[in-house]
Amino acid sequence: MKLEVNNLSFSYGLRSARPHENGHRILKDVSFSAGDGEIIVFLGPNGVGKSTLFKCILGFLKPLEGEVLINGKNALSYKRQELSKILAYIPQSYSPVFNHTVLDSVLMGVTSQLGVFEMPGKEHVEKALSIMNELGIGKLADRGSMKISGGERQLMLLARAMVQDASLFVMDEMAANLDFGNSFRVMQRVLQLQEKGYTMLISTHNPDHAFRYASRVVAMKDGSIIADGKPDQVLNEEVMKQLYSIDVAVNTVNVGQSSYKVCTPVF
Amino acid sequence: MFRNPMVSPDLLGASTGAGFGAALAIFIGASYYTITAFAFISGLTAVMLTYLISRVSRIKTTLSLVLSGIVVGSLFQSGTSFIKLVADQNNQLPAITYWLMGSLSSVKNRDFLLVLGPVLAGLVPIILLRWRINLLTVSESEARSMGIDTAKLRFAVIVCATLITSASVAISGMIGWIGLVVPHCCRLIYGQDYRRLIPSSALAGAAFLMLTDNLARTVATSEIPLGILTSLIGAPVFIALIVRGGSENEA
Repeated sequence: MKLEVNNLSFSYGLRSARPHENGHRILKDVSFSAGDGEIIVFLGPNGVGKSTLFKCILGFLKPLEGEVLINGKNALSYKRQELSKILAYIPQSYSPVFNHTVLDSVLMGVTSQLGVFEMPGKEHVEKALSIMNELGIGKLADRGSMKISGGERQLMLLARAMVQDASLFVMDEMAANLDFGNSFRVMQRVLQLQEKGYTMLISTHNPDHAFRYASRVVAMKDGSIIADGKPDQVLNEEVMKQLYSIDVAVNTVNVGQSSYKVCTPVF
Repeated sequence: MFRNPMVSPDLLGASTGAGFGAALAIFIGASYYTITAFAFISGLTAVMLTYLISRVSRIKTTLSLVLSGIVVGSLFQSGTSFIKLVADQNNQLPAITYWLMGSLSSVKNRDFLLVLGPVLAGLVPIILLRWRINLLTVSESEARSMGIDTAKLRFAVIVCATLITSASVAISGMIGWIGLVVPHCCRLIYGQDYRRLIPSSALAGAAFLMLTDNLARTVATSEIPLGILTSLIGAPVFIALIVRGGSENEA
């Protein structure tokens, strides 16, 4: 899987014949690429354009300028059904409106592999169950998706993305709204998937997630990328201050034999 | 469909539309078949209007559908009221009122054959599409990311549901509540999966209608209009569902 975003600009304003007269540009000349097995964490304040960028990648929004290439082909020229076999979308934790069972929710991921009038068969159920077991939610199969915890629900959506056979997961604030323990448990599974070669784009408000889980960090400010690289190189006091306009101390903590960096605001 | 379990088939205006068509036909003194045809076509027109308004709207699809459904419904409703106002009070007005209350008493075998076509044309695709309909219950972005053309699927379901509703209302008049209460009860029994929910709702709805119709014909010396009875039974059941459902969802 290869994702390339080239000189992407986007504006929600009217798409008139004179682009320079359009409203505020949410994204300005954004370029980056992602390959197999990368976890790219997007950091930046609210409203900076992370979600808009993700929507452009998913082919929901048409960029003003620039392009999104997935395996060398423009995201907008894919049929939804084809694109769904490469790209999966995982939104932030929310309470479902309908109480589908966890198994049925995961099974929804196979729909693009089925004919229009086809139902998921036995082999699909087995595949879903084995993926759910792999993620540690096999026991929840018959529970209602309203009745499980936020963390379990995110694992359910991860399982759905895997059942979908996608290899690139776009996760918009996937661990937001989760409590301390749940967000850790979900991110542990994300690391486990990285080892299997899945590529993941994750936006987050938690810089510690970037230090701990990212293979690369993309820092965004006012619709542009201001830094892109390994967490240790990108996430320093200066960039953090630029992003969030507060003074931040970056320290190293030792956990067992490993050491990690953490961010703490300075008062 | 609307990501809200509290909606019923009339949301898009199919049965209010059909009611208006029937009232208009009775007003101009049309024959029995013309009344049926008017009701059917007017029901389809109402939903078409709702759909078109929502398409040109810039608001989110489901919200604009619901809002334009309400507006179109009330438009046809006021049309019906106006016809009732100007209609002949001795025979037209009672005929309209009776039609709007809904009844199966004047339905003959030929009516069954008449609506069989449109009802099957709507029912068969919905039954075949029932797995996919599950995906209309998650957010638009999620459904699309899973490879579903949500606009097409939603359109197909609306067309099918409208065919069924308009055809049924055209021969029976407005019989309320079944469309809201029966699927809800089925949801509690069989769960949310439309693979089971759609066939079970269709069968349970038909059974409930037959049961109520038998009551309507036997309880009193003269037949009680069916629509009154379904509301009478439906409303308390629905209140029970709201009370129960509320405590269930907070978990």
